[in-house]
Amino acid sequence: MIFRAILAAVALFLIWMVTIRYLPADLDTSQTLWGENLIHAQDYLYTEKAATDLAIVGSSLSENLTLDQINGRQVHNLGFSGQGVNDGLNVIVGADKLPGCLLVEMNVIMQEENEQFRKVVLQPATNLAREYLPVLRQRYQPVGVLKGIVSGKKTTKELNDSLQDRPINQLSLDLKIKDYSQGVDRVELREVLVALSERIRWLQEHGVQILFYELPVHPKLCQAPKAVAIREGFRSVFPPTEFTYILQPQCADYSTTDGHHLGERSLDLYSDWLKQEIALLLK
Amino acid sequence: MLFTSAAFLILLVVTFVAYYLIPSQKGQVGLLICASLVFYAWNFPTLLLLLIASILTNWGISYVIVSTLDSPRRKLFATLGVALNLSILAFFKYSPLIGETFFPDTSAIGDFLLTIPLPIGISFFTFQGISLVVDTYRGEELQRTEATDRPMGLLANIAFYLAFFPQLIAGPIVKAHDFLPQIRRKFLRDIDWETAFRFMVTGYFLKMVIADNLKDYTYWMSYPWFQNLSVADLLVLLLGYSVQIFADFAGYSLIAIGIARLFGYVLMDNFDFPYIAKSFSEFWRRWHISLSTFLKEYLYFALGGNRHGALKTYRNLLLTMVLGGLWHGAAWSYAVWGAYHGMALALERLARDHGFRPLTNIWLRRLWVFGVVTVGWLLFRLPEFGHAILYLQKIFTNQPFGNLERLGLVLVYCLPVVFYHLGYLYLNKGKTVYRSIIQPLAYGLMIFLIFTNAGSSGDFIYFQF
Repeated sequence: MIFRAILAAVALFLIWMVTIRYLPADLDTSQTLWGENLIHAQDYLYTEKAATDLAIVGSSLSENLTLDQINGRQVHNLGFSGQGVNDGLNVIVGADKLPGCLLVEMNVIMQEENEQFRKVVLQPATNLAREYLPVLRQRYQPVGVLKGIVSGKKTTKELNDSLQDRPINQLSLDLKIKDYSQGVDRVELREVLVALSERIRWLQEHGVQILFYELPVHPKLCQAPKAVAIREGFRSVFPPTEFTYILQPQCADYSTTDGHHLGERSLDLYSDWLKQEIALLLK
Repeated sequence: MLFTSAAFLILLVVTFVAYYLIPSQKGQVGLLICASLVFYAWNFPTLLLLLIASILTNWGISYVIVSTLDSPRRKLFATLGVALNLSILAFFKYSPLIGETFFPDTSAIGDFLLTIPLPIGISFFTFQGISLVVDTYRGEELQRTEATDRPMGLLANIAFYLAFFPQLIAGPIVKAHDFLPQIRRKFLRDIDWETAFRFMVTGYFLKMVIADNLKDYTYWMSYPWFQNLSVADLLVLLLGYSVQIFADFAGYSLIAIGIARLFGYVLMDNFDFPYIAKSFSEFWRRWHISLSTFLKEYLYFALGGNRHGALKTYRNLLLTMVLGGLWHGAAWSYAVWGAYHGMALALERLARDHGFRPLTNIWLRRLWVFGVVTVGWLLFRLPEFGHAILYLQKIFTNQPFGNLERLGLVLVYCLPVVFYHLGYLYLNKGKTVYRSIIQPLAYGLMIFLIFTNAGSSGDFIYFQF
């Protein structure tokens, strides 16, 4: 029985390896936020990249930015739900090729690095196996593929601005207002930023252009003590004389679903605006 | 160390190869003890001291019981042994609960009690310690001459019994009288490969494909996020959690049993398709069998069982289940969960004693038991009692439908567990078509999905107990 079971498994592998070759490239196969993060990270690791490509590192705030291409240069989004800048940086450093330009989100900077994510994405043996056997990648999980085919969707996010009316999002906003009003532990913030600066300067030395940007959030959070402290912290560790900042636009012009995440229309609006700003700054 | 980690696979392979190269029982036992200590110490080395202390305590007590001929003194030592095991468990597991409940926030004692760590697997190895002491006292196991003549051999066997790594941190809870007689030299030729393969493939599939995927959906059952879910979401996620907890725990047990088989040891089955149970008493004969039989043998019978009339039987059922609930976790919600099952058992018995049987259809009875059990799991997911009540309230007040995609995916991950139970009921395993086609295909599919559709690796739910 053992032999026949293994034989059946091998046959299924082969069938699946052939099947995934014929799947549409933009089929949305993500099942959960974690899975979606993995898909983005693995896409970055295993796709061909040009030395001039752009990459975004950040949190879920940046995850749905629709930048695609700027000045004919491909944009890879490594904004991860529930994770932060360092998780994206791990993927970039772990990949064989660095981007030409790196966009670093400033909003969610205190998010600790996700150790499990790093292990899953970059563990050498499995990483190598996934590189040569796409069938093992998150994007090609059979249940995810089935979901993608059944739903026929190309994007997954529920970003309707009307979500704002739901009580939980009001609760979420209230919690954020409270959190932002309390400021931030400046010593801890500095430690985080100094650690980040080592990685950023290393990338800079390797020819990567660095651009910092800050997404608009709910107007009550924009000038709150925590937001101001983070901004000041960035400027002290990454002096504007050495680094380029894309300033946060007027928060009142945008709407969010929970205080932090931009609603669908606002996200498009900000993405268009950001694209124009980046296009002007690209070397 | 997780069964699903690369470190564990390396430990397993190295231990397995070395094990069968060693030509003596002593050497094999010694190797498995070393591997078990490495396994336990992997993430929290300091907690190894507690396991070693538990081993030494149980060895000392067992040795004294075996060496003593005087019956009252043997009983005294056995009582002391049980009390010591329970004290270790109480101190490490329940101190935070006691601190939280009985001491104010600012109290130094309260603060101290809250900082006591919960050593992984303590509920399992202390219960095995109790089993050892009781079985030794009852004379069911250790032979007096052998034990007293070879105290170090006794120590090795006890260390092996308590620390054997497949079952060390989440069971099955092995009873001394089942395990100790199996200790002898093992040979490669004696391995039942097919059984070990079946257990391990099913276990890894249940854990990695079902439980680990469902975990990322049932995350949304946490407070306060569930408040925003639709009624359909709330119900399907509850179903999903019921399947997840089964897949997680049964998966762990199956892997443990399969690995133990590789080393020539037979551990008892811990799950026997529990969700087909037609009554609550049957459910507990099928769910976490090693714990329920332990509680029955060492607690329910000790309380008098059903020998002293109906009222005392109900009381004993309730008390056993409340303590069983508290065994699971140091929170009052676990006691409530135990009481909930205790009451279900007592009421079922009361109804049976009076010939009252409202549900005659076998499937309605199964659905009833499954429904009640599933609602009970809410206290595992939301240990704050108020949150669990709020969750149930939301089932009656929220909008009817929400994220259909999530509902569909949860149901897809629940399906294999449904088929697993239905297959047990309806597949004729004696038929050639089953053995030559269905079974290899099913195991082949599980292997394929383990490699291609595993969820994010997470701790086993029962590790916290």
